[in-house]
Amino acid sequence: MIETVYDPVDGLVKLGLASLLMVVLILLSRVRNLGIARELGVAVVRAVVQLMIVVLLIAAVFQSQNLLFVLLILAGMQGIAAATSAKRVSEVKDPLRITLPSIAAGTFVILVVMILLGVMPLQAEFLIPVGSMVTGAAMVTCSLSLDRFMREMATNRLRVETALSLGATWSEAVEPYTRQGIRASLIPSIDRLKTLGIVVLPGAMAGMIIGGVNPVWAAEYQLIIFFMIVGAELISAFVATLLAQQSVSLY
Amino acid sequence: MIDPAPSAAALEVARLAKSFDGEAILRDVSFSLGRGELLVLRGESGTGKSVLLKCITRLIEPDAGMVCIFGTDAATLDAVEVRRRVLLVGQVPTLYEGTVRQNLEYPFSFKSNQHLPLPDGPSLLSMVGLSADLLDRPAAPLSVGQQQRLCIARALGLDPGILLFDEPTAALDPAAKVVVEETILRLNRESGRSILMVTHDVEQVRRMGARTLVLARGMVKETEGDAG
Ligand SMILES: Nc1ncnc2c1ncn2[C@@H]1O[C@H](COP(=O)(O)OP(=O)(O)OP(=O)(O)O)[C@@H](O)[C@H]1O
Ligand SMILES: [Mg+2]
Repeated sequence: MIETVYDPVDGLVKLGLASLLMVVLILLSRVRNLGIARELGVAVVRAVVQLMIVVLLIAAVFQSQNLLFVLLILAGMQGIAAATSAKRVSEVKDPLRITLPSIAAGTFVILVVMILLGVMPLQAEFLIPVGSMVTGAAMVTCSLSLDRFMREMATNRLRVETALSLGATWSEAVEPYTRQGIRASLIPSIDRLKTLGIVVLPGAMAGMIIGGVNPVWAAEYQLIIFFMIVGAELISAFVATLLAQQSVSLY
Repeated sequence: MIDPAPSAAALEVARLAKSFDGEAILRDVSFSLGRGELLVLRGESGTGKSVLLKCITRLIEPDAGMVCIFGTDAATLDAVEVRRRVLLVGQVPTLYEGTVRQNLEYPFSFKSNQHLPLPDGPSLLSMVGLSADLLDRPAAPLSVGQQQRLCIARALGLDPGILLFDEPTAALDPAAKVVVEETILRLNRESGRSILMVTHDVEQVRRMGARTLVLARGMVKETEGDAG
């Protein structure tokens, strides 16, 4: 883990200096009339406040090492992720019924498997950051797969109807479109894996190297996280399209 | 297959009703299609002919009424079972990516059709007046008339007992029209298939010499077959 000594005053001063950069940017966009100054300002303040609250919460959980708190935090993340993703599928009623199980299945199946394999230590310091990355990834694929699936269903309504007329079951008739939903939602991850380290130096690894961790261990750790993320994404997209398929109809 | 009711009509529709958003499209539709009969359904655009055919094959769930297929109440059957007995060829030609052959064979990838032998592509195409040369060409660039005929050929490969055609010759020139008409007549007279066909073409009705129903104001009435 990151072992450099933390000096609270030094940290605040550095954060303050970096904030100055944002203030300059906001002023600049105001002068140039870009129309984003207000939104940018709100976003910056939100980012600071949110992250500070979260970090205090996390610090408290690390102190207590109580796994029940960890579980609660992870559960909260699933709820927020599911609500965010649900906004993308307003066409179906009760979209939470689709997004919550999908994201939670992706996150928890992968976390549990990794814990059982002994890859992931049963500690708050690991479970919370890795859990949040996995949840975020599952959320995005859930949204992407549902969005694509619903669009495919809208454009291929006649094809679905025709397949049914020709003897297909509902799942046989919509299968090409669930498949496209899953495939489209995984494109970003697959492209990211292909170019890993070449085009993008992934965030966690960059962070660990900055924190002074052995780069080889940082790379191994990053790969583990990526495999977990892709696993969670696949499960999430699979469950999401399966549930969506069952809750849509022709008319 | 044991025939549960050898004297029952192929299709018996009774008091069928369907509304969309409070607007009644079908109010009280009753008619029967005899075994081995060819029946024509006419009616102005928007009167609900397509809705009626979709209600029979349960693509649309009717609000009320009964459909019996060879004497069996369709409500007791799974929708897939209904569609194995009654095949609807829809109004809008609808094909899938791939070649003409792949389109003809697509239905055989479904569980419910896997017991059937794969169709003979060239003979199916010739039944609708298409050349066998088309078999390995992509289906997407076909003309609308060719697509319409390919859709009919695809349905014929499944050889169901009852066929519903929704304006099967709407996009065809006179020569192609006659080929499709003859195929439908042959299916009916030689293979004993029971057929219900929607058409606007009065000449066609006369040529095919079939009993004619007219759908108007949500109800079906029988006509002489040549009235406007
Ligand atoms: N799924 C649906 N939802 C709402 N309204 C529908 C639906 N399907 C059909 N309708 C309406 O029902 C009416 C009858 O439509 P239908 O397609 O059966 O007409 P049609 O008799 O086949 O006409 P045409 O000869 O032009 O094909 C139309 O007003 C149509 O808008
Ligand atoms: Mg119609």
